[in-house]
Amino acid sequence: MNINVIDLSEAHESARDDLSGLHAYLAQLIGQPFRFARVSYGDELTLHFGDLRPGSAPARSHALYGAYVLGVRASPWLLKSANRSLMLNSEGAVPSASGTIGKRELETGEYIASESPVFEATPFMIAPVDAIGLRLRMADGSELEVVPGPPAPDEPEDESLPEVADWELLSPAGHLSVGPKLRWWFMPTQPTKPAMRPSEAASIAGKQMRAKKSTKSPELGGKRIRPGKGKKSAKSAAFGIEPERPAKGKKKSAKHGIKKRRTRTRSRKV
Amino acid sequence: MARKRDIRQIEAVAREFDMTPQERREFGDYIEECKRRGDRGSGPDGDFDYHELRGKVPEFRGEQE
Repeated sequence: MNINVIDLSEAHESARDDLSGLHAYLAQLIGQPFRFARVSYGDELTLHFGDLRPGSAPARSHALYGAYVLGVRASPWLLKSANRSLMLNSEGAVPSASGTIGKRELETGEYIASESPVFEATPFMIAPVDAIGLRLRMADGSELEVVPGPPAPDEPEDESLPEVADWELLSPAGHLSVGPKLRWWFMPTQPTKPAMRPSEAASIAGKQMRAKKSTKSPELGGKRIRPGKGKKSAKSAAFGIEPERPAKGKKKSAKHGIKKRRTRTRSRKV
Repeated sequence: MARKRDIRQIEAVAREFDMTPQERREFGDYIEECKRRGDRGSGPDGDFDYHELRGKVPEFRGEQE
């Protein structure tokens, strides 16, 4: 038996129309529970799946985000809701038959049953327009299809703007970007800190060894400090500041200097 | 249908300010939130133009009081 491996820690750029490779990358979405739909700027539909977390930007820390976010970018889409026996579509996907709904209703309408896991995520070729679509099936029977259309010619003022993908998936592992045309890319999430050099790792290991020999300060969140040191040393330890130490030999004379001045002041008062 | 120009403008601003895909996603959501609460741009339907979007980045990142 051969077992397929997808290394999500490496960047990947597809060969033209590599649908099976894309299908494999989409497997990370399988089993993730649907959380909610949100309409972003530009009327872009986004679907959130998996564990929820607050936004990382200060201005969005009050909002929740799924660990997996599917964004349809500017592509037409079609949602078949099993929950409410309805079919919704973005303008342009199929002709409208019985009215329209607004953004808020799309977000709150529970067209996909909450917590319903993704059952299938399949890319498909749309040959007439040279694009890759996406079919997403949820366990409640709902289905989303993303059907990129032909690229519209740029308005003169848009020529300087970058092209955007036909659809994308943000995940803890990275960013999967599909289109335009039959190309797709996967970029793994950048580590927040660059990898350490061996010398840095050795230095940190040495500090940890020294810290083990010290006592623990509950005031400083359990941070260990050296015994026999004053408040200044504790602060330095907490904020990672190396305390300034006078050079050898100068320490004694400095002390004497202070004593000398104090003595003089007292003598004046008397 | 989604407005492609708006999405491309967000993408352009995101690239200019070195946003990660996650930050770009949140920025787009933030601009939509601004529009919905009445803080609208000068374009039709309250859309923001490119320069107005650039001006929103510091407040989005919490760099402006």
